Amino acid sequence: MEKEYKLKVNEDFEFSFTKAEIDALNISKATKKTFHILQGNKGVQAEITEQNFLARSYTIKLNGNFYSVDISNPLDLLIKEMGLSLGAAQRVNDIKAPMPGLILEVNVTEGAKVKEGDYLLVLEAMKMENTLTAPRDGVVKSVSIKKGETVEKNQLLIEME
Amino acid sequence: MKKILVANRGEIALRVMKTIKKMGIKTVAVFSETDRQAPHVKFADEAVCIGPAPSAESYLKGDKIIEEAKKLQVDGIHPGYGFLSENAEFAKNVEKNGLVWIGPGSKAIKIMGSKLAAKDAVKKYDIPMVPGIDEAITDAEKAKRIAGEIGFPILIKASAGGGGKGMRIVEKEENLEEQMQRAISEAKSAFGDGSVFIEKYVASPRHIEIQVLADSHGNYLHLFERECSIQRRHQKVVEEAPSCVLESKLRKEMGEAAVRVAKACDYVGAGTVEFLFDENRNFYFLEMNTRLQVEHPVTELITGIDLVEEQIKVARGEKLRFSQNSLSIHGHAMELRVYAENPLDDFLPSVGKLKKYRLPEGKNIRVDNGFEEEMEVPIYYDPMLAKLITYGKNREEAIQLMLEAITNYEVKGVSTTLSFGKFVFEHEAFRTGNFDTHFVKKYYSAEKLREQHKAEAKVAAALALKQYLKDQQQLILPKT
Repeated sequence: MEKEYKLKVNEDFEFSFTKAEIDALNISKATKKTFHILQGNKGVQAEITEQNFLARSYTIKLNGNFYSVDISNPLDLLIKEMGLSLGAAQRVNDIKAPMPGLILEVNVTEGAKVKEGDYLLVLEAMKMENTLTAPRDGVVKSVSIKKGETVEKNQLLIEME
Repeated sequence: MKKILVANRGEIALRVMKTIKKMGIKTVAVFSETDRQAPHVKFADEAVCIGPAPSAESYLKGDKIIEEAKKLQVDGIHPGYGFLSENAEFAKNVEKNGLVWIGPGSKAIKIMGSKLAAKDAVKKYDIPMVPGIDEAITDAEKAKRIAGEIGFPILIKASAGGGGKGMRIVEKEENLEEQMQRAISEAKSAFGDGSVFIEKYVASPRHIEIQVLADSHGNYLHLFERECSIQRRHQKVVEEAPSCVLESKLRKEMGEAAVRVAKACDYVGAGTVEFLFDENRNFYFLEMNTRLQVEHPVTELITGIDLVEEQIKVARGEKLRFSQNSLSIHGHAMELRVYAENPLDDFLPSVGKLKKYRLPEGKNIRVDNGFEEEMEVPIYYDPMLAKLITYGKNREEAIQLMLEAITNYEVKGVSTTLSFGKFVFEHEAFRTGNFDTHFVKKYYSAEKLREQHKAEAKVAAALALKQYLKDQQQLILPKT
């Protein structure tokens, strides 16, 4: 079977290509860093704004948006397939801050029984108040923040049992 | 006036100072500890730190600002929008301290700053109004009863509110209490006044507002309309002038109504009268904003009038140099608010460092900007980075130029509403002019934008891989 390359874009989208697919692309080089790509009859301009061969990471500018592309090597893939990568077994019970901000109100304490949709806390960022609610019925295992505290994005706020 | 202090930050502080400088007047900037690096501080002739990052301890400290202004022999204070701009107490104190307030009198601010008092003031001026109550409410039970009478959905609005803050739509009775609490608390924290009231929620309205201008000699005029129907969270994101639904007769009617509203509160300076415009082409008075609006540039581009310059001249006691008949609309202007928000994640604020920040340039492109590359977007203030404004001979041209400008606007490090803007300006409903304030709810979904991004990401990935394979060939690697 032909070798497949796996790529991750903006740590969000994943794609895989074979070398044959890449060879078949209709890409015309405009200048050293800019390209014109035809897909069917649709054309698009793209520019390579950053490239790091050793880190296998490239940044492409397309329609004004930046896409940072990471190319996996076979070892990375092996580790992943064996399920050894970190974060795979992450608990889904953690309620994390969706953005940095200030805790305005905490409505639950440890051991509290909550129902799905109950108001857990209010997080204020840039003058907007955002209410975080319980994702399901359950018991609050721990509350790691208190009123008036500033939190970072993805900081653990509340854990459910 | 020889020296003016601008009691604001970000793009608006910079925009106001540019006109002040152009008029040969010295500028003074104020800043919080976190804004030391901000462009408005560097642009001003003089700058003074007024306190720590939270706005309540800096940009909202009226007394401190007046004290510093006096120390620096400032003649006048321009408040920009937001912060102290609609604080009647502050306006009064500025004047009491012998400084010129570049804005309407405190009486007008007070009346229009309370949506309830505003309703009362314009009652006798023959202005159409939305059904609702005209008193503040805190009792949830009473609110439920009134909401029942008007009929759901209803809108809870902060009497002191603006910009969508302290405003909630309530579709069902069971959500009323929680939403009311949130609205009251938000209103308290944003405006220091927790009174809210209830209004009928007008279905599929367009938001059309009229720019007015008045001097202290009793002359009133309007500078036509702006349409601001593209909103998310009740906050405008895309604005344009003129509106594509008004024809000259209706434009004149709305303009005259706006002038009557301004007269109702003895308005002086630049102000905006907002109307809801329903599908039957009725218009209703919504509120008056007693300050410069965020979206004022679109009016400037189609009339050729610098509104900040007019504000300063009026504050100096000068008469307006033009009459209603001498004003006309030339061309079309579009504005996109570039917020540090993630359109893929429910428009949540996206803070961080601007690793790359390059503005588009060119004829008929204007960017009112408050940030620079390498700056952090602070969590303490409104997440607007800049306003991207384009001008064309007609609407199509302005839209096309906008799309081009969006592509050339480079931001890395935070998510912005640029990609959302592109979605809007490319959308059929927007391009044909067939839209209302529910545009986002009706047509926009993060998935649609995500699909576009995914398709682009795929092309980017393919190009990156091609380059990688090429780079690999060029290197002589040790065989393993």
